[in-house]
Amino acid sequence: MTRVQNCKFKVQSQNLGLLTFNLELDSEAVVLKTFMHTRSALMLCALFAAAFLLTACGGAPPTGWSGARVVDGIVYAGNSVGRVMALGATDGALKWQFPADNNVTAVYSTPALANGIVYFGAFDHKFYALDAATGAKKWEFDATAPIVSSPVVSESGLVYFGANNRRVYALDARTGAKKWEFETQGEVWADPTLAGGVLYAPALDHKVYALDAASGARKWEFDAGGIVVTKPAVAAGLVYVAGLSKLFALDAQSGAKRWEFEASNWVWSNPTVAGGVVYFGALDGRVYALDAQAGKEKWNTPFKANDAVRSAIVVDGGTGYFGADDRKVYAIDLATGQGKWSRVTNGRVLASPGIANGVVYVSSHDNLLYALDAATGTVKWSVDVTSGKLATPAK
Amino acid sequence: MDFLTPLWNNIVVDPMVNLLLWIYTMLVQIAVPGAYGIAIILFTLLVRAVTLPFYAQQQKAMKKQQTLMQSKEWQEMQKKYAKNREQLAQEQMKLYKREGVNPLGGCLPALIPWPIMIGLYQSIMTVMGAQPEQLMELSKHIYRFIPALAAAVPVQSDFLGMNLAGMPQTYGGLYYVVPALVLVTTLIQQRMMVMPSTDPQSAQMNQSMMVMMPLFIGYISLSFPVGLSLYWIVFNVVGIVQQYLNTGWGNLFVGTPWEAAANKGKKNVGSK
Repeated sequence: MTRVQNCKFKVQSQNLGLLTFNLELDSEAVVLKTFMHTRSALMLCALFAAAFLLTACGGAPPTGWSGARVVDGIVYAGNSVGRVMALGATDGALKWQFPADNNVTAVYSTPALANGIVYFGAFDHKFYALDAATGAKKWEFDATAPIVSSPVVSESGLVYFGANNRRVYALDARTGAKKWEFETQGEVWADPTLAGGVLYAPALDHKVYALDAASGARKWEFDAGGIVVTKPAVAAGLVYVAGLSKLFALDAQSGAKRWEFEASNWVWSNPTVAGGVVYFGALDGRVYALDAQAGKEKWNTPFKANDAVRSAIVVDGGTGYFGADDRKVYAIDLATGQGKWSRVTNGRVLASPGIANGVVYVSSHDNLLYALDAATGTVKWSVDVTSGKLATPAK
Repeated sequence: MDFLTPLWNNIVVDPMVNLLLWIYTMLVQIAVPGAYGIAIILFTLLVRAVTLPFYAQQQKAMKKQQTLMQSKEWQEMQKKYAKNREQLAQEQMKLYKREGVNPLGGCLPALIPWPIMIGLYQSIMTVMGAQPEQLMELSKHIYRFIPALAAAVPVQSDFLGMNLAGMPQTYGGLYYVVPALVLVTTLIQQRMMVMPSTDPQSAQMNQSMMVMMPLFIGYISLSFPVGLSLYWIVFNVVGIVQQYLNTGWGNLFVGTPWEAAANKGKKNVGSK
């Protein structure tokens, strides 16, 4: 047996002066002695490490969940690195991105388009209007607080959105000049909906406000009993809006409640009305289909994703498309609530998809924007939003 | 490892989130202004009280070691083996053993509360819901069998003229007072905690750490929501009081113009 005597391996952090480790080896035993010069120094190191850990476990930057808007063969979408991009719908080729060499912190707002201008709000407190062809900034409006809400543009030339300073704004879509503002009691994260000259704007103060779109005057308000973060859907004289885990159907004229439905968890998915049915998801992954007039469930059992559904259920030809926190994009049969296909990504899919010409466009937190075949879920192309380059070339 | 996150949430974060929200709803019911700020303070005090035995044990062990390090035998050992650090280490280990002092004795009890502190931190951030993702995450933690908790969301984060979700580097002005208080309270606590070292290398290290650590914490708090810094300040202040009651001012005034006055006071604390 080989015997090694007095073989000492010594690690001493001379520069730091913190710890001296003596590792003594011999044939009989390995003894590790850890001696600490000053325990207080070790404590300080532990505090340092803890501070780093604290920074890591809660201070994650906002990433946004901007949906995709497809207009005239161009896909406009905010991305997880705080930019808005314009991509060719068929090949994913980058047309422009804004800002070109920086970011606007985070983009939750799904861009709106009108008269060749792209509108969106950003977490950097600014509301932007860009030239849709070039991405050049036409104007910006400082809301003095982060903007989560997506804008809506009226035919009369006003653009509406909410901000975290508890206000709903109406700006001149051409110049950015403020026309009116309406103050709520809570941050306004939900996207407002414009219908019949009325702007329906929910807020985190638990209320849904119906405002005159021209003047901002309040017509009615409804207390939903909890935070409202979903865009109201308006159809056949009813306004559908979620408050915490309840979905309400309200009379569009008076705000009177027609019916309510209790989901299994909070509803952050914008309700979609199609063919007399309201579709929406819940944060426990369930997807519901309700009769729009009566509020009764249409499917035997709700569809169940493996994690939260924040995305809206986007309807196209009898199929509903949505993303989920389980990193998947789903397609479900709206008649039965059964799954058709699902596509796994490498990140959370909190953004709502956009659909055009049989292609589903959706962003994932894996920093890719996907174009999926609506029939099969096959990836047609994907773009790395950090570089603007194709990650999967167009097929 | 996927099971660890739900386990952590179920055991640590969920109870804390709901307790914090419950304290908040109680304060709102009795119309306390700045309810979420007060809730953070009360909650931090409560958690500090729960972890008190661990800190007391740590401070007891530190005091024991401090006494040993100030003993004549220790000082002589330092001089005798000044040029042989290895031998010095061995002799010191022997002395530790003989006197029944575990050099790591104060570390383990100090580390046990850290998971609780991290849970507390996560709870405050989650309940505050400064970002949409955080508020969305809250739905996974709230106990649905207490409907009042969900109805209290979002918490009203106004406190002393500040938005607790606001960050000093974004809001500026009055908000800069908060990281300054974080820095000062961390500095005081560090100075009180650090034991004098006879080893010049260690003493120099201690000195630089005493400056660097508070500066670092103060700096990162510039980009933290002030609600979180509020927790940090309360956490530090309780630590300072606790440290004072156990060991007096410690090294707080060493090397400062108030050292002489503090030494007089030290005698008084010691005679208590």
